[in-house]
Formats: sequence, structure tokens, C-alpha cells
Amino acid sequence: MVEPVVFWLSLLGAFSAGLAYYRFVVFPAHLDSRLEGAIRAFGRAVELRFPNHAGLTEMVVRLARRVGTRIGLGPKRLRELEQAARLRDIGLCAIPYRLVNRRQWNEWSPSEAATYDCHAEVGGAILETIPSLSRHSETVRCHHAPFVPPGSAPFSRVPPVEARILKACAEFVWHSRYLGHEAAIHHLEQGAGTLYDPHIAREVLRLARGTEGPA
Amino acid sequence: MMSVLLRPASRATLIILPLICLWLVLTYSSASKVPPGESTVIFAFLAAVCPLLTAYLRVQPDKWRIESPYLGACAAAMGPFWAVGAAIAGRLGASAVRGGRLRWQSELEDLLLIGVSLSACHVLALLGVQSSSALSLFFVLFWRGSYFLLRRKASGSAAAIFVPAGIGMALGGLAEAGAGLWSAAGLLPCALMALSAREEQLGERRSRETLQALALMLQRAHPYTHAHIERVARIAERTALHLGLSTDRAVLVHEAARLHDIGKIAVDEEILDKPGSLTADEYAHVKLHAPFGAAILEEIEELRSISDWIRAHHERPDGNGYPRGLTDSQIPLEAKIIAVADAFDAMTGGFESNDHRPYRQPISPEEALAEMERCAGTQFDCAVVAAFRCALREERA
Repeated sequence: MVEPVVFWLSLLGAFSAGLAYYRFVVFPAHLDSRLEGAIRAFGRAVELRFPNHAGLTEMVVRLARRVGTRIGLGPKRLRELEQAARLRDIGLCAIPYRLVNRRQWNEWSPSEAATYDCHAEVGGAILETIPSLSRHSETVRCHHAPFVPPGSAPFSRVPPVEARILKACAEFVWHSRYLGHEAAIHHLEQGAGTLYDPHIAREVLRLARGTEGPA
Repeated sequence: MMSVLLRPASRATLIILPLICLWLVLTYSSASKVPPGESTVIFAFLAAVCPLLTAYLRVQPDKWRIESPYLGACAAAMGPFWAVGAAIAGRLGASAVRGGRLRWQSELEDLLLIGVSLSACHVLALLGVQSSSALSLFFVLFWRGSYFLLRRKASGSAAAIFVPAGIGMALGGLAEAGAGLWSAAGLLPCALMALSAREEQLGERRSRETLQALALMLQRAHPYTHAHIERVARIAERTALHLGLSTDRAVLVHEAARLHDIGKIAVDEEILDKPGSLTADEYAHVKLHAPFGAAILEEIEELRSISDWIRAHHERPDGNGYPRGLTDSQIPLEAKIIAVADAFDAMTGGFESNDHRPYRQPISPEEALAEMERCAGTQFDCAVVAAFRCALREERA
């Protein structure tokens, strides 16, 4: 026969275990899946607005993840990188529908190109207003910013490494789709050190040529 | 009577509640079972301490009252006088931790519920139930159950009722076994409840932020829609309450109404803003916003139920709506509510706030209501139009 005190204490222990499992296992996973769902929804909204962007995000996410792994980002930063890759074009909602859907990008005037380029700034501004995603705002804001070698200009901001990865990956994927694989490789080679972080560009090129070797 | 007393705006609560508390204390103080000893006074002490923990963790205590197990044990082992005293002390202490902010109305309403639960507990004791564990279990179930019932809140209520009730039963059992001091072990599950509540709040905040961000994206794409969706959301929630939906459901209707036009992100703004009538192709393009909106929200698990409402918010009871031409019984009630609120605001939107749509001149609210009543049964649901009229009257009052 179990002592009443032992029985009631065991019951309290069982409740504690259940609550701890809920708090430390179930809930964090639930929160993560909520966040992932929200991020997917943003991506879906952009792809519905601009159908010619369909599939680009997934390609950028996969490439960015491989590049991030090769340059030694840890699992947590890789997850952040993936999230930033999915959110990077959220600002496209502010770009006129017809500019992207009714005109070829190589027909744009300089002012139209400048309008399109605003999407990074707009995306950063939107994310800044969302506390749970605001950490990505700088990456999104800088994901088309040209490479600034550290220490080269004392007052210029060096984009975060995630933004440099996204710039190289997103533009490589874009050029691959619209100009062809070889032209994309050529563009990346030409831009390494000026437009793109040379270290990251080298990793993207290795992956693109299938000569990556060990990470 | 209870629902009148607990209505948030009821002033009667502030007058009647102290009288009931006084009556309870005077009537039941003699019913205290045992003089407080070292093994039982701990219940009152911890019942007063637990609210401090929620205040410290900045948890809104409405849903998870982590002191409820200790209050239950206190009521069962020491009597109602001590339970009410501990509850009041806990609330005052929590308000001090929060910097002196006491939400008088909700705290008094909750104390009223505690008083009623204690009365019910006393009746049970008079009927011969003497076990502290059973009385404690009954008290927590009654108090938290009636809270959720009266507030018509459904989400997560089962866990927030049964977990504290189970812990309260264990604490009552410890008191019965003469091991009241061991009840300090109950602090662990209570602290875990508080941490879970904080996580839940974080999750809810993130959901709100997501919705806010989606609304912001839409606003960037179509600036005029912002004021429109806010007005539609407000009146849709009120209409839902008038139709007897639970508070949680009405809040969901509010969120859905805020996002009902989210699919317009994918619609050409030049067509949406075009003055004059649309061509067939243009109209077909605009009609896509309903399924587009549903497709966006389907990506978010907790908004999947909303996505059906968004998809159906241009359906009509007579089957002439879009995108699927559903008929009356096939259209979710929430979609019908959003349809009515949306149509009313589209007709009158610019009348008061000067943000009218380029393709339509605004009409007065009276004219819009008359038009909607004319279309009740064909374009709009009759019951929803009637509830909408009441909600509108209430909103203007």
C-alpha cells in the first residue's frame, strides 16, 4: 500500500514532468513551426504577386545553406540564414505589379531599376516593425549591397556575412535562370572582390562547377 | 445575473462585489475547519506568493491562475476566510510588483468568482464531502471552469482548468495526510505553469506580429486598404459576438477580417484603382484575390481555419458568388460576417474618412444598410445582416 504522502507527491511529480515536457519540448517546437509557417506565407505572397519568381526562393535557400555550411556557420546561424533567404524579397510587395510582370528586367530604364532595387530597403523596414523577425532586417536590407572589404572605407557599413551570402547566391540563381549557367558563373567571377565577397563567391563557384571538395 | 455582473463594462460589479465578499467572510469565517497551523498556513502563504511570480514573469494571469491550486487547498483545509484573504493579498502583492497597476475591474470580477466557488464548495461540504483533496479539486474546477464559461473562451481552456485542478487535488491530499509542509513541492508545477503561460503569450504575440506584417505588406502594395481593413475587422468582431459566437471565435473573425483582402497583394494595383468599369479579364484577375488570400494563409498552420473564410468571403447565399459559387449552407458563417462588414465599408468607407475607392462614390450608412437589407437572402445572409445592424448601432453609441 502506497503511503498517501508518497502518492500525492508522485502526482505532483507527474504534473511537473508533463508541464516541463510541454514547456521545454512541445512549445519551442510549436513556436518554431509557427515562425516557419509565417515565413513561408510571406514568400508565398511574393511569389503570387510575381509568378516569375516562383521557385527562386527555394533554390536560393538551398544554395545559401550549402555555402553557409562550407564557410563554417553553425546550425543556429544556418537556420537564421535560411529564414533570411526566405524573407529577403518581402519588400517586393511595394514594387509596381506591372514593372515586374509585364516588362522584361533587361528593358527597365535606370529609374525603373532603381524602383526595383528599393525592395531591399522596404523589406528591411517591414521586418524592423516585427520584433520576432527584426533581427533579419539588416541582412534583408543589405542583400543586394555591393561588397565592402572590411577596413576599406572607415565610414561605410560592412554588410553582415548572411547578407553577403544571400547577395552572391540570389544573384547567381537569378542570372542562371535568365542568362544561363555559364553566364552566371562568368558574372560571379567578374564581380568577386568588387560586387561579391571573394571568399563567398569562390565557394558559390565551387558548388556551381561541382568542384567543391571537402567543406 | 452572473453574466450581467461579469460583463466588462458593468458598474454593478463594483458595488455588489464588496457586499458579497463581506457576506461570505461573515458567514463562513466560523466555518473554518482548523485554526491555522504550521502545516496549513503554508497554503495561504503560497497562494499569496504565486501571483507575485506571474507578475514578475510579466504573465497576464487571466487564463492561467497559478495560485488556484494553493487557493483550493487553502479553502479546503483552512476555510473560505483564509482563501479570500490570500487571494486579495496575492493580487495586491502582484500589483505592487507590476508597479502599482491593478486592473480593478477584472480583479474584482475574479474575486467574485472565487467567492461563488467558495460558496459552492461550502455547499458540498455541508452535503457531507469532507475530503480536502475532493474539495480542493472541486473549488479549482468550479472557479476556472466558470471563468472560461462566462468569458466564452475556448482556446486551451481544458489544460488551464484541469492541470491546476489536479495539482490542487494533490495539495489537498497532502493536507489531509498531515504533510502540509510538503506542499511547497507544488511550487515546481506552478512555476512551470507560469513559464508555459509566458511561452503561450510569446506565441500569441508572434502570431499577432505575423498578421501585422502581412497587413503591412498589403498596405505597401495597396495603401488605401489599411483604414478599410481596420474598420471591417472591428465591426466584424462585434457582429460575431451579436451572433453568439464565443469570444475566441470573435477574435479570430477580427483577425480574418483584417486579412480578408490579403490576396490583393497579388492583384495588379492599376486594375484595382481603375476608375470606371472593369473588362471581363480584369474582373477575373481581381476575383483571384480570394483564392490567393487563402493560399497565403494556408501556409500558417493556426490560420488554416481562417483561410476557408477568406476564400469564401465573396460567396453569396444564392450561389452567384465567387470563386466556387457556394450556396447558403456551404458558406462558413464567419465568411458571411466578413462579406457583410466588407460590403458595408466598401459602400460607405469614404463617407467619413475620405479614403473612398476611385471607382465608387460613397453612400451614407443609412443608404448602405437599406441596400444590404434589400439584398439579404440573395447576396447576404439575413441573420448576419440583422446582427450587423445591432453591432453598428452599438458601435455608434
